Amino acid sequence: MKTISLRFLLLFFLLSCGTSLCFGDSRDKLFYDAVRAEASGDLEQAVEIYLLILKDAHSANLHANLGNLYFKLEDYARSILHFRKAIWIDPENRDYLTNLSLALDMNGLKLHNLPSFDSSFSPQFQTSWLIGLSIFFWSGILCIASFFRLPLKGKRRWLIFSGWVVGTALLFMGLNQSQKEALTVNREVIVLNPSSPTSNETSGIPLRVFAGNGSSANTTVQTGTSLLLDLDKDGKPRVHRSQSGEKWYLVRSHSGSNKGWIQRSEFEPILDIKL
Amino acid sequence: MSRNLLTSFLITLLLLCSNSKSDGEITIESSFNPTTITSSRTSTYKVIVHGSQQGPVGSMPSVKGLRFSSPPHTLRSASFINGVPSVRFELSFTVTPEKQGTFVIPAWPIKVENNSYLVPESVLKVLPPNQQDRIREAEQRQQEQDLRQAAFLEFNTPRPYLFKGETVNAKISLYLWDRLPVTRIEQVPIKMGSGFSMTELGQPIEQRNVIKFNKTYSVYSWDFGLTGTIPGQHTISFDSTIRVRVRNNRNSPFSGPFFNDPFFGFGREDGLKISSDPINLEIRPLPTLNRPDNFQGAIGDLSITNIADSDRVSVGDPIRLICKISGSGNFGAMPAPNLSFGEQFKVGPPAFSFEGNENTKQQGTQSFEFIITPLQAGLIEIPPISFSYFNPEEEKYYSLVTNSHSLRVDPGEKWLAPDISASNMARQPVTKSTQDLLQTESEPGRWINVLATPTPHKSIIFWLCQLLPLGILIGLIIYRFKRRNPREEARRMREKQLESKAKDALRHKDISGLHQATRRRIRLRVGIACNRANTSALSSSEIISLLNRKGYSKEIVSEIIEILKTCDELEYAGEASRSSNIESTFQRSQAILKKLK
Repeated sequence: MKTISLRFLLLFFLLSCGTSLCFGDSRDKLFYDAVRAEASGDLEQAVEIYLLILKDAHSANLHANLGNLYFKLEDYARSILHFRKAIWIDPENRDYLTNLSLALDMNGLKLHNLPSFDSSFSPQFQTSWLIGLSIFFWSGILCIASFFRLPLKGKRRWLIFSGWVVGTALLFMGLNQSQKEALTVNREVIVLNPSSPTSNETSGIPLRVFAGNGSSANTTVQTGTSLLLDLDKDGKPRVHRSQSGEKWYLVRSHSGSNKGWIQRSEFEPILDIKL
Repeated sequence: MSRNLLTSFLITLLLLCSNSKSDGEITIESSFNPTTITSSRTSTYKVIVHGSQQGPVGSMPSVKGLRFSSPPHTLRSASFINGVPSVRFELSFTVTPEKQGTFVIPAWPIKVENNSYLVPESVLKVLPPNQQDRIREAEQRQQEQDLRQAAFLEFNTPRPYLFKGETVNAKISLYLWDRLPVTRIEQVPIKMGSGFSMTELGQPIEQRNVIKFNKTYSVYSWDFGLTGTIPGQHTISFDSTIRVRVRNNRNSPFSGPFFNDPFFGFGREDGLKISSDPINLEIRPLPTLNRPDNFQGAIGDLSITNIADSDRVSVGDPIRLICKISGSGNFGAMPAPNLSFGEQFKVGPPAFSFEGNENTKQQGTQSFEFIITPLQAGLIEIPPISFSYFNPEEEKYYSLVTNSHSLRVDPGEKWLAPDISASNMARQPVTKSTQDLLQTESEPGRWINVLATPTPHKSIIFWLCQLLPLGILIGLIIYRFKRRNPREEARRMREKQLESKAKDALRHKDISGLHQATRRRIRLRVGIACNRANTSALSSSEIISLLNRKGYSKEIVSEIIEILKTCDELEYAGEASRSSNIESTFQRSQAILKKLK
């Protein structure tokens, strides 16, 4: 019985290692193929390979290369989208920010509303804030519970207690701020031209009053613009499914002044969210 | 069952008899025990009302030279003497003599059961202290001195007087005897007394193995600046608190002497307040005679210099003028010197910085950095700075003047307004190309499976980790709750006190003290055993009744009756010849108390 279990475990381990190695290898292989295709001048082929890899994995360099390819293909909106994704994965890479700035400039947009991913309140630091808060909070509680018989005089006792309260409040505020930033990034989408990635005929996407093609537009936003998905009371994106089966989402600008319905094919979220 | 009934019947009969007796003859007795004492001892003045258990009403006459404890200790008792039931009420006063001589308490009236009686006269003879008393007093004085010398504060100032606003270097030293089990200094010395201000006490300087009073000390010293604020005669002293480890009051699970020894880290911590001897310090007002007009309150022995960081500038260019005052003085309260540079310079507010002993701020260099801006071109002079101070040692005012600095101020270049038309130029179209893009990466880098914000609060591991401190907290609360029983602790403490009293009495052959302590201990233990809160007012019969009700064996009850009876007899008998029984009474009481659980 023991031998069978050991054999089974060994087999499972070998299979899982093999699978991960195979998948890892295939991704890398495809990536090198895409780089070769780009070097040989076949930009469309390179984009296709990169998109194939993106079905099951991401990397900062992959998104940056894809951003460069779209830039070269003059699809600046998609270029912006992929640079944003690259910056999300590697916020400290200044090259991605330079390229994003260039893409935005080429598209006639300005670099604003970009969440500061390297700041202390960036969504990536949520875990650090939460662990810090948890450690500080419990340390204080346990210290109070352990040493409450300690004969600390009034002023010192209040000073320590106030320090703990203020520290906990500050850490909580930090966590809250970080969560807010995370919520914003989760809602953020980039407006794209659905008709053809390489055609630049349509310079603007209308934000409709109602969820339908026939509806008039509140305003028109340029492709590559960053918008926020409007959330319902359950915290899920407001969605409407038309009779033809198309999904429409309510979006608004960062300032909140412009809003309207947009088709699913007209935007792409920066992060992998369920839509 | 039948035994309980019989006991109840006997007690009822005794009470009935005592009541019937109370209807009869009431007699009053009074006496001192002992009747002759030395001036350092105490005696007990006892008033006994036979035939009643009701508290008497009356006021005792005061006797000059004797001090009576108040309120008196009372005792009600009922017993059979030679088969005859007897009840009585006792009042006991502890009497402390204030002088030698023979003192007579005259007969005084008392009311018992609405009838007036006379308490008979009693005489107490107070003799001069004997050799034993003198030895004990000397020991006590030595103990007090030892305690004072175990931890003390020493405060030093350079002079017995200060001038108002003057800062002097002062020092406070905390001496801790090496044999004193000090755990920490809870409160650094704090100043007591008004009329002074002082700088904050920083980290102390620690010295080991300092010999004083033939003892070895660890000394913690703080230097600080002391400034006189209100003129007049003032008293200053310092208080500090240290934590020392002392013996446990309650029984520890390890009852051996080693586990109760504070030197081995056992026992409990207690605070010990230490005060320095008060010192009289005079704060004198500053003399008004020959006081310079520009005197701003600087006191000490000081010198002044000034430095300009440039000697050639253009009009409007700032120059740093640093004025340095060095020496010893009240740097903490010293204002910046007044610069009156006229219209040639614009003077900004000074920046202060101090280099020297930050604890006392009494010795060092105070720098005032002024930013001055010349407003006129040409060869101009930075005027000298005048500064006055008062020297407290010589009790004189001094005025100092710094050097002047020559400064060449150029007119500077004319500022040209920027060409506004250039900034209004139309925005050029973007001409950037793909060559501006940073190069394509040839390596894939680190792969990740999903692009998403981290959600640690949704992780089960995070919440499982929270269970650990929560569990510790609950455990701590339960542990604290279980340990805390203030009533039980108070009882234990009381028992311990009584035991030590009884041991002391045994050591000093104090018959009365031993029997008092023994009776109280029995009462307290009976109260604990029978779950009674107030045990001090229990009479012997009540104690017996309680024990019977609780179901203690006949032997234990009879032994307790016997001990109580012995205590009653010996406490008031006053016969020194029976002192040989003390040891046996103590041993018996110890044994019986062990049985009373």
